[in-house]
Amino acid sequence: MSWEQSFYYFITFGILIYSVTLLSTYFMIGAYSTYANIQHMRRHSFTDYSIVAGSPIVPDISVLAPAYNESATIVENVRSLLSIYYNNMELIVINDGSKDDSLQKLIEAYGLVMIPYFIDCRIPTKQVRGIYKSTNPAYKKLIVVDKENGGKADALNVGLYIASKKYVTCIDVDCILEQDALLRMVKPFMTSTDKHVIASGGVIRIANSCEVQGGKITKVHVPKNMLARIQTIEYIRAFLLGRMAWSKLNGLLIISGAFGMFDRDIAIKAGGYNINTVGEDMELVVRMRLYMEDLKLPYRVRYISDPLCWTEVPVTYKMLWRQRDRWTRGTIETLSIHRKLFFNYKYGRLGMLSYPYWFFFEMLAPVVEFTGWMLFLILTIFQMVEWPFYFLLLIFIISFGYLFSSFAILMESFTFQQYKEKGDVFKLYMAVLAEPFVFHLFTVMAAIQGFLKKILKTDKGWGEMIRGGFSSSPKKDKRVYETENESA
Amino acid sequence: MDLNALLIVFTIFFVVGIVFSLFFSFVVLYFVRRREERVLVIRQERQQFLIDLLYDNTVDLEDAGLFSRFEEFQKVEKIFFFKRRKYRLLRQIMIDEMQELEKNVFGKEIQVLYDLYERSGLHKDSLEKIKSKHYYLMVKGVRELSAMNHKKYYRIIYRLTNHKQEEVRMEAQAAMIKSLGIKGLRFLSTVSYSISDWQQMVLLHLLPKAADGKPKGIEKWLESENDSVVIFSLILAGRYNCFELLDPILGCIYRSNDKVKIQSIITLRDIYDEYTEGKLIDYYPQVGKPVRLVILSTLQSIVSDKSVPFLCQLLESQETEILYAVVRVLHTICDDKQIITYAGEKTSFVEKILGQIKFEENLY
Repeated sequence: MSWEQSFYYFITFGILIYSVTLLSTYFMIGAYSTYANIQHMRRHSFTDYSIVAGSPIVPDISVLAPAYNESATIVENVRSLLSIYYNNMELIVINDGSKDDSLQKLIEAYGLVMIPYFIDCRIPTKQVRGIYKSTNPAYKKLIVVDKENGGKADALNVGLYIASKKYVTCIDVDCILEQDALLRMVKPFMTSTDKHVIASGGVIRIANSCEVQGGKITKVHVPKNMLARIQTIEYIRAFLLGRMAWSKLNGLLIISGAFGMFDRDIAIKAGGYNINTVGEDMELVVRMRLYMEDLKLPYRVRYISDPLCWTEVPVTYKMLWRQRDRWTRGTIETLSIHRKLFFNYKYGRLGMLSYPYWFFFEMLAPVVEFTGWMLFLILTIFQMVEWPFYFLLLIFIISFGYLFSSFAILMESFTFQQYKEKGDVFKLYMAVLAEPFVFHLFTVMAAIQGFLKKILKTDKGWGEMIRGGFSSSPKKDKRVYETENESA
Repeated sequence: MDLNALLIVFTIFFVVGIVFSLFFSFVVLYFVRRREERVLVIRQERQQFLIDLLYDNTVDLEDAGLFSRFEEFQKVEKIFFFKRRKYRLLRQIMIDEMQELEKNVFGKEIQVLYDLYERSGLHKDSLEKIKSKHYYLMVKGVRELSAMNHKKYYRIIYRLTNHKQEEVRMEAQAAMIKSLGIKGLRFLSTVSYSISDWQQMVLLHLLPKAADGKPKGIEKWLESENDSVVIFSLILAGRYNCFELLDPILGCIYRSNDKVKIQSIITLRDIYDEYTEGKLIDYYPQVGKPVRLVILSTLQSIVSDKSVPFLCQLLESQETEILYAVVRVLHTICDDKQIITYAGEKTSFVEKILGQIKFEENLY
């Protein structure tokens, strides 16, 4: 066998082994999440959440909503957040040095006045310019913090210290929460008796094309935009299968920055959000876990599969590219900061299972795939490709992708049935068919750019999202604009 | 088998899986929708039947004809698979409708509902569920029996209050209180598993108001080895104003579990005497920061002038959270000028905190 042939077989079989390992992991995730979802649905059917709404012993929650240039939607979004069913709650909106009139709009809409406020911030943050509260008792839950621009993590750190409640919920201010989202989210913290629940996450669903009235989702539709529709499949896969399975294994490394609840005390003791990464949501969860592991305290990170939070997803390739580039950088940064976990048996499941999974199958997956493409190109040029084997491998991989996505849709149909209009499932299946050829290639390329930016050290933090806001009409897809954030 | 053949086999397997998923997604949606529509019609029929029954004084529950009206009331000896499924579904719908109605019916009508549940033999279905090996069926059975006021089965339910499956024991504990009120709390004497915060909240919601009597046995439960029982008993002591239990409550602050310490100190906000303040101050140096903060928060409700020297000492603390809490306590007994005098080198700090407190007081 010549060296070229040896090289060819080495690469081909290497990719095959990697793929088979990845596929086996996905099979296990599918099986485990099915079990976890069935358990969750059964338990959910016994629970009366209205008891929490009126109970005097329900835990206090501070909701932290950082906002940057959200002038178009901020007043409505805050109104929507204030209407959530939960007694012991305060809403802290952190205006992160917006250049638009977000603060002015809030002051006018809610009758805010600046108040003297004692802040005990033990980690360095950008300067707080003022704290505002409403003179109208109807809005007494609302606190608005005006600070210099420092990025989302910096804003959340200020919020963590201003918060006075036991638990903090961090959300994106433009998200739409289900009215009972906090009631459901607090349950994992209250039901655990043997282990300290340090964080809990909920499913994020896609609001594009949905009907919104008064800050509430009134009717769910499959997004009209193809990109958003494919992301719907991606979100169902990730949230209903992946995260549910990892939560059951107590190996969850990420809770979405769009909606997550944390034990404030542990979050502060772990050092708060890291301002030097764009993946601050994942990094905080990993750090909180490390804190508990180092102190050998029993803990859990929980996840519930109820659809609690609705958000817009990018509908243009430009915005999607930036989002995926940022996600990749966030993953690389978090895994790099906590590299001591890599196959470290001292950290148990965290070091031996969760971290390696993220390293090999989340962070490196696009690199392996891209390497495969490049080698295929080289082999084609040198006429070394065994076409029958190549096509067979391609069909094998793609058919598994289809199977996993189909299973995710099936799981969604069995559990929450958010998409139950005629033709909805068909539309989702069409999106599944298109995903490997349209969406997937694109996201791999965006991830590769994220990698290159990290390697070449040209990464510039977050992109700025300026949103058009949710309209009540389902006819148009919501528009999301993105520009570079010079100051972040 | 060579690699190509293996790949082909797996690919076929995946494709079959896709077809199955696709098929079942459609089938699930189709059948679920059709079933939902059918069940809705049946529910409405049953609901109307029950309402007519409750408010029609001429109806005689002894009348055999009444029970031949619906399929689920008929006695059937042997039925086969599909028919059995339908029969069970219909009986379940009837039980569900009875449970729903039970929430909104009062007076003598509710007794008719309970009688119908028993005479139609639906309670046997619930008892059968309790004997099931599946926890979710057991929970359902317990819930149905307690909703339909089946006090005579409370002994069976009582045995489940310490069941190894959390959901079952939670439902059984709730059922005991629904059936027996305050007396239902007797399971606290035997329960060995922890009672979660969630369950405590549910039980408190179900318990009658303080005016309707006090639970007997709190003193014994305060000595329980199960910390969650002690915590719940402390909450009960506060809710039912058990002033006679002040000493055992004070005793709980010396227990090893921080959660018990914290709850006992919180209970002392409602149940205290002139010595409680001094005891908390003496205890303060022996505990960690989380418990200290709760002591200071409780002192806000029970503090008197004699604690001023102790609080002034605390103003030297380097912990800002402690300082903040101390200023809040001092604010309840001293005027601002006095507090600033005590503050010494922390004057600017204290002024800021006082500014915030005063502003909050005057905001609404």
